[in-house]
Amino acid sequence: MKYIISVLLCAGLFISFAVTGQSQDQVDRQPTLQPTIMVIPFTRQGQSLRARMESDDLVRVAMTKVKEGFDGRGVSTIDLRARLKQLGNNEVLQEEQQQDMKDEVIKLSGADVFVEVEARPNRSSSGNSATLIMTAYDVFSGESYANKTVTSQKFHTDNFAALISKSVDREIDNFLNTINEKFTDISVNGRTVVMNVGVLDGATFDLDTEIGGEGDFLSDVIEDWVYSNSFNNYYHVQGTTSNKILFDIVKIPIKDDKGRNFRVSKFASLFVKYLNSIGYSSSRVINGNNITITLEENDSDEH
Amino acid sequence: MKIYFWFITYVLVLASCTQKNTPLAYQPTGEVKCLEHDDRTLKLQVRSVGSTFQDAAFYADVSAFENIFYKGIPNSNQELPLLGSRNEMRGQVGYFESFFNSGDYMKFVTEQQVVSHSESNSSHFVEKNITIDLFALRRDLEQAKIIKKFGIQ
Repeated sequence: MKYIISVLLCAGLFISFAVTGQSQDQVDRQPTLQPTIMVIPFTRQGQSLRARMESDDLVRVAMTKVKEGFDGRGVSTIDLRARLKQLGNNEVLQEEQQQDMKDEVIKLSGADVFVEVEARPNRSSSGNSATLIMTAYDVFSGESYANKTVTSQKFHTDNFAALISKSVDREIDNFLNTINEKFTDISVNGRTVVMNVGVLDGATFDLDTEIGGEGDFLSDVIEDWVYSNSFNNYYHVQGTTSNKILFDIVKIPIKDDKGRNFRVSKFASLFVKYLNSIGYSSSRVINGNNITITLEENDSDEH
Repeated sequence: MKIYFWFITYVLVLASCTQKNTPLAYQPTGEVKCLEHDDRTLKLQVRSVGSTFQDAAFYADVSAFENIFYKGIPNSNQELPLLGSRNEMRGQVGYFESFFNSGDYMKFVTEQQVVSHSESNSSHFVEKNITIDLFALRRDLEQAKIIKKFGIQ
């Protein structure tokens, strides 16, 4: 009997430890949304990313060192070269022939943030140095997250790669810390989008049209929806006319209830669905963090 | 009787004039300078004062870490503070008590050297160079959930 009780107690303890461990594990796995990051070389108008990367050793060293910096913080980066190869069979095939495909490459890469790196050797009679410029941008909005410029000390050497490597080491932590501060700000306050809601020319209604039985104007109903669906109910109306409302600030969450990326397109889709539910057709155009919604005549019903 | 009275008064006056040796408490200062840094470590020069040499040396260590935590070190690889404000850290008392009082911080000190030591009016002045493994420190703070990992949470 004693033996059975001991076995049961041990089993109970084991199960309780296992359950506790599991729940702790779940807490530990609380997702940190890792933004996907791609490091690219700085290119001038008309310059190919691939050509720039392949022809400039200094830039390659700088890019590799910057990627190492991200690795050190547990963030994997998208390899530009691999991505160019992967995308090589479709749209980006023409990357080398086109005048400026940089934006396309960035958009198709799937990166959330891209880091542009420029490395330049400086020669002088008193010694050589190297200048490094790193800039991080949000792919969707083009907003700059962090900028760092560092010029190495002067040495009587032609080993510019070593100078650049040292420069990255000196500033990479500050660069990453600044980016992380921006991430913290976004986590707390949400991402900013601009939303322009207008009525198609020639429509038989405008934003002053009353809808529902309570005498609400269409513009009020739209504003109420934005209030309810913006992150922390934070939004700002820049201006309203009878056929246009411009929300210059609408905060949207960075992730949805399931912890997935909450994209600008998702917010626009939800709004379009809502408009449909109250009897308005609409079209949407998304450009970066700008959403343009055009309300159209709904063929199927009257408002 | 009069002699006794004057003697006691004299003793009392003397006693009240004697300087009391109250131990000097730690005072946060910004006397922390970056000597050199790379992608992983940070070498700092710190000045501090204490009632004893040991106190002053310990305060130098505390000052180095506190400046990294709450202020950031100019011209270094940690220009921004590693942590939020002191108020935000109030909920993490346990970690920091053990960090300083149990000497846990020494895990992150890779090198230290007292550059100068002087004594004046029962105060000890110490100048110390400390090299800190910033990378390991950040990792430890992340694991203890004092700071968040790189990314959006």
